[in-house]
Amino acid sequence: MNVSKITRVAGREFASTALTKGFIIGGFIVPAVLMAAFMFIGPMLINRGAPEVVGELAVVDKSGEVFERFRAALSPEEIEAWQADRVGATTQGVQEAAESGDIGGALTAATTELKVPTIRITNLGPDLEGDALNEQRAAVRDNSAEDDGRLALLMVDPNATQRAEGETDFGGYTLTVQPKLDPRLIGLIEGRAQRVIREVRAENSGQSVDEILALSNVRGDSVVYSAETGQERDADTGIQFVVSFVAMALLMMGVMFGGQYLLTTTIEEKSSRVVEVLLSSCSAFELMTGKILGQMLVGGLILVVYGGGATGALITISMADLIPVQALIFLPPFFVLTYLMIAALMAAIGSAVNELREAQSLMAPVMMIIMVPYMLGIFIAQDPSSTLARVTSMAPAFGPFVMITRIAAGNVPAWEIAVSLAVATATALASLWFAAKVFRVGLLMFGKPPSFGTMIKWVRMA
Amino acid sequence: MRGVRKTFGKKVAVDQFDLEIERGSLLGLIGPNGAGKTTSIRMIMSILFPDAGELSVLGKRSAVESKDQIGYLPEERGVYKKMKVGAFLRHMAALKGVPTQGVGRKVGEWLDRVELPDVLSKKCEELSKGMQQKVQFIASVIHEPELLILDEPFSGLDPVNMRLLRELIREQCEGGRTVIFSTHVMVQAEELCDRIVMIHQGEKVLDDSLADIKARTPVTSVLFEPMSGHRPGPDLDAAAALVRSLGPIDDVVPHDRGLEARIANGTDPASAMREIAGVDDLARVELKRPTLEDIFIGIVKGQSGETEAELRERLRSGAAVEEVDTEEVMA
Repeated sequence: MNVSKITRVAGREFASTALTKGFIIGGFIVPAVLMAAFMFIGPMLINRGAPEVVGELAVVDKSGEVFERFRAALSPEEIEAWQADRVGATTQGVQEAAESGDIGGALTAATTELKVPTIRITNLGPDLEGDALNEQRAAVRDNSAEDDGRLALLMVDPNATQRAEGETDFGGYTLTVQPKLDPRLIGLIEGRAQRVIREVRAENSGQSVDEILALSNVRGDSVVYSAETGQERDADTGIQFVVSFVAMALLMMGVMFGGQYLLTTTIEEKSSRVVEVLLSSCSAFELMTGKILGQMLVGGLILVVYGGGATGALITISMADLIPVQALIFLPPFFVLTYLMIAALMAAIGSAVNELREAQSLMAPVMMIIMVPYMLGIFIAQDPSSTLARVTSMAPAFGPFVMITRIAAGNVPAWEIAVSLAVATATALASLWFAAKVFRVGLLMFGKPPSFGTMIKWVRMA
Repeated sequence: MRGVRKTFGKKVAVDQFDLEIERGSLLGLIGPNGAGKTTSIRMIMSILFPDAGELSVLGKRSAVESKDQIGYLPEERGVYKKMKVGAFLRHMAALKGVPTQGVGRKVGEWLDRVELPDVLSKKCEELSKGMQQKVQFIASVIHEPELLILDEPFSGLDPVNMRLLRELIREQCEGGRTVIFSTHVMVQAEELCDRIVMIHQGEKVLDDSLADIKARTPVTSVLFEPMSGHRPGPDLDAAAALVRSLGPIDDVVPHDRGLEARIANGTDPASAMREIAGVDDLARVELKRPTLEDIFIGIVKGQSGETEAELRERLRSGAAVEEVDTEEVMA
């Protein structure tokens, strides 16, 4: 085996993939632009895109105590004051979330912003019943703002503010809304209705709402304390879940980027017939090894850039303690082993077919190796010590994906990691052995694309 | 190569093939499409491996150990389309073990030599097929190989480039390199080679120097052309009838530019020629030496079940790629 030829092939493979405009744009610039768009432009568009609502809100107040207060609570001045508070808070929330890199938070904050609605509140009286009530509810249609139609109908129960004789529970209300009514407006109406009913109930029982709220509200924080930095932060298990899932996604991304490019370049070399010229200069095994190593650098580059970006983001938002150090240590060996397994299969498939289209059917088993852990990922990230997680993390083929998720989620016994690494090594070697045989025969085969059965016959033939 | 055999499924591509090539010779490997030329070459190159028999290249057990001393221009030629010509040639040179230092100068010199001085920075896909072929030829010789194997090197070239390539091949041979030149166009081999190996249906049917092949193949025809021209008509018919009446002539048939008189068995060609030359009003009389194509057809006629016309047609048809078909192999 000539190492300098392998190096040469690997160098060309890397350069022809990673040093192209397509790769730089598709691999780095487009994701960066998309991320920026999500963080900054998206919220701006969402803020400006919210429709202004104009319409009627009908009320059937069977309690007879709610309507007037409710109308006051939804007066334009009240709503404007409420909205001014909210918009101010929301804008600040979007800004803070975006600055801290919390894209989801920024989006959530941005989507809660609402323009001031112009609502006409009509009292339909307390006595509406049966068909007459249903007729009024049916009038709540999918009206446009231009129609100035009925947006919603609020029906307050007779016992909403006073308990009925012999009952322990109060009644409530039913809000009938247009199918496409802005959920923020629904929230506003319900919030006001609840506040008013709560106030009336409190007054009827001779108490103050604020006092009741103060009595029922118990403040509590769950925090994670870092002994190293002396800082504490909210204990958010959701973020831990995301971090472990991201570890798996990173591994998949690195493996699939390199593997997919390897498949493409192999097919290109075969279909452009340059492969025979190459085989006159190096052996099929040297060619395959060089190509696999070259694309491993491409996958590794992706891993470093995206993994580095994710780590940097956690450090930036002061969540450095969430960085799974053990996962960072084991990510490189698991990446190499998983990549070798997948890339060898990709090289074998690429050598056997004449065009990318023909590779689709042969790709199914390879895609399964990726898809199975991806589908199991949520369960594994939620409970990394479950039997399912432990068994699958030591299984051939998709074990490394599961194991890296477990490692990122929490402590995994060393022996389990060792077994997983050993199984992954054996799988990679078997895959390389299979690929080397298929690659040698397949490169010079033309005509009908082979099945997996045919490829196994090639292995026996080689 | 000694007793080499290669099969693809049930198809025997090469069988009992013996071949020994002297250093510095220019050997023509000829035969119709599908005869087994490319398979033999791929085995020499260790791209394919024989099922049986022995093989050694440049004193090594296989070409795997001597690839850097071999230049190969395959029948199915390809380039990296998106790569620039200079980068492609440097890459191929590096794969052949050429030191990086000075390779740029070599590439430039070769591009000048093949009359492509301005393509260094062009992408390979921007070149015409003929230009790409010249670039591929450079890739096969840039490392100054001891053995140069050219599989159908003239296919797709125009006459001007054919002449240029012929000169380059001769230069390589004169430079002491061993050249194996495979073609189904036997005239090309006749023009270039000093030794001929003919393959038919995977078996070697002839292996000798061109001079010896020619020397021992008897002249059996005389070409002649009436003074009145060579277009069909009464003059041509009259001349044919006159020559046919001569004793040593078996038959007279039309030929490209006149007529061909088939000499009777046992007749001295010189005397037959003298008799034909005695006929009045002939513009040209010459002995027709058998071509390699005639010799090949003479050898394989009757073996393949094809008529002479069909064999000639197959020899003159364009080169067909000797591809290994997936289904054929698995049959």
